Amino acid sequence: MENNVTIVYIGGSDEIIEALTSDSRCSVEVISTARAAMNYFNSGIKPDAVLCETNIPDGSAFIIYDYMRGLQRLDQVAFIVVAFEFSEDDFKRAFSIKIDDYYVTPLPDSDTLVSRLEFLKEYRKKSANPAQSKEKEVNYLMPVSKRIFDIIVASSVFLILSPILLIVTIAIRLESKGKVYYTSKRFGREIFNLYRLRSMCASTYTDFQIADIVEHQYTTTQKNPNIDFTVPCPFCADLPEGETCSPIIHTDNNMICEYWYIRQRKEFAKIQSSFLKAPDYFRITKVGKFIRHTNIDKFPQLINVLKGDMSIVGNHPLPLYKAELLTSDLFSKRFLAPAGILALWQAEMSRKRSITEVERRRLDNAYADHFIGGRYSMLLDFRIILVVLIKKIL
Amino acid sequence: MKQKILVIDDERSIRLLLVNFLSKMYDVVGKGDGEEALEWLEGNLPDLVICDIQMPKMDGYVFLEKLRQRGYTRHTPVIMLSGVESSPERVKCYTLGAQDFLVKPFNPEELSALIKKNLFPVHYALKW
Repeated sequence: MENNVTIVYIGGSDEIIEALTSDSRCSVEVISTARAAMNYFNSGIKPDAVLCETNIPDGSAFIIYDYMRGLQRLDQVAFIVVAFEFSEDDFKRAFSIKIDDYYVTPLPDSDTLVSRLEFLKEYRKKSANPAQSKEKEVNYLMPVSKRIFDIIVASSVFLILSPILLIVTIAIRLESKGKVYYTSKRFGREIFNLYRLRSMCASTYTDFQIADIVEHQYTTTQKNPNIDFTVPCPFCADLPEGETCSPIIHTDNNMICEYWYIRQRKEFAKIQSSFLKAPDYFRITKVGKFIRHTNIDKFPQLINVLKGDMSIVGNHPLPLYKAELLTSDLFSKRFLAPAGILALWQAEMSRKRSITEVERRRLDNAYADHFIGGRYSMLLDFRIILVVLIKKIL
Repeated sequence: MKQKILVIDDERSIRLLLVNFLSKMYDVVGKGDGEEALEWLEGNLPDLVICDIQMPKMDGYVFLEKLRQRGYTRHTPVIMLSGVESSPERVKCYTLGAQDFLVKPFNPEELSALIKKNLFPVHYALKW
């Protein structure tokens, strides 16, 4: 098709005719009526493509398309509708009856048009010979057996623990004002509200709700990083004066190269995030201290399990500000596994006593791998539950 | 009927993460490279496209260019994903016709908001 593309243009726009004929690669046949187009199709000539205006004297693009596709000889010829005004009905109709494309004027330049026609030709060849059926993508599925297990375990444990929950909720209510539970947005496979019992003063919660504080400070970090404009970028320093290693960006009263700005901002964010880990802002109540120590504050997560947000075993769902750091090519696999109360790394930690952040991420990814296709086995979940429980008891 | 989103990323875990994350709200289809996505587009009409930039067979820029050459997808909203935070990349994407640009790792809630913004621009306009 590089040398010559035979295009039949059915319509009367001088602009389009001029644009098509000005390209030496295109040999253009102009036809102005539907009847003449049908006669042309019956003449035995096979063009590479047909461009047809939506409305032409004695017919429309859709009538001509139907007629052309009825001729077996021309069923591989690309057919493109040209409209002078966008019509949603025509657009949808064209797509639904498999017209190759629908352009609203001005048409793209001839290079684009020729490359589009080349693509369509190749595509038609491929779809005419569907040689190798492509391997279907293996998804990380939530097994039905796991879901059933979750419902049985969560509802039974919830029933067994309900008297304790009742006592604890009364104690929380008596000790300090406010709701007995709080919700925090988490990301597992999707975003959901994680339930927990309140372990801090409600007044603290109103003003400094954990998620809000962390998220707020995090955004503050993003918006107003502590950038030191006096320290020059090490890469720009090696370049001749006036040149910079990356584009210059402007802040309120200063200018800085983009690389140095991003680097400093990341360093600052790291310091801030480690600072945020110390929960000194919050006043933990006496009951709060107890329920935190005994993990009773996490019992409402069983509601999340029953709702289907989480599973008994899975990768811990993360607050959004933490999840934001892991949705990269390297670490994102962990989010393919269901979110869970007990994680694989907790079982591993019981043996090794301590576990690094990198190991934890690796184990989260390893747990996710158990959900590829039909690889999932409940034995791993049982082992995790058993090991973590034994560790907690001991 | 759910709106259709096409996700293109050569990194399977990101692709599946997006498919899982968005499939409750939308009808999501994942493709591993630009060529495969273009072939899929011949028979399908997405309401929005999310595309990675760094891909081996056909990178995000070429895909975006080809997407804009097609009459059917000339105005389909596109959100580009990139592992690199750089303004020249952003500028190139906007020049080629992308609506938004998101750096990996990203906040899933931000992506969700960007999708809504692009799928329901009138709704957002009314709020302003």
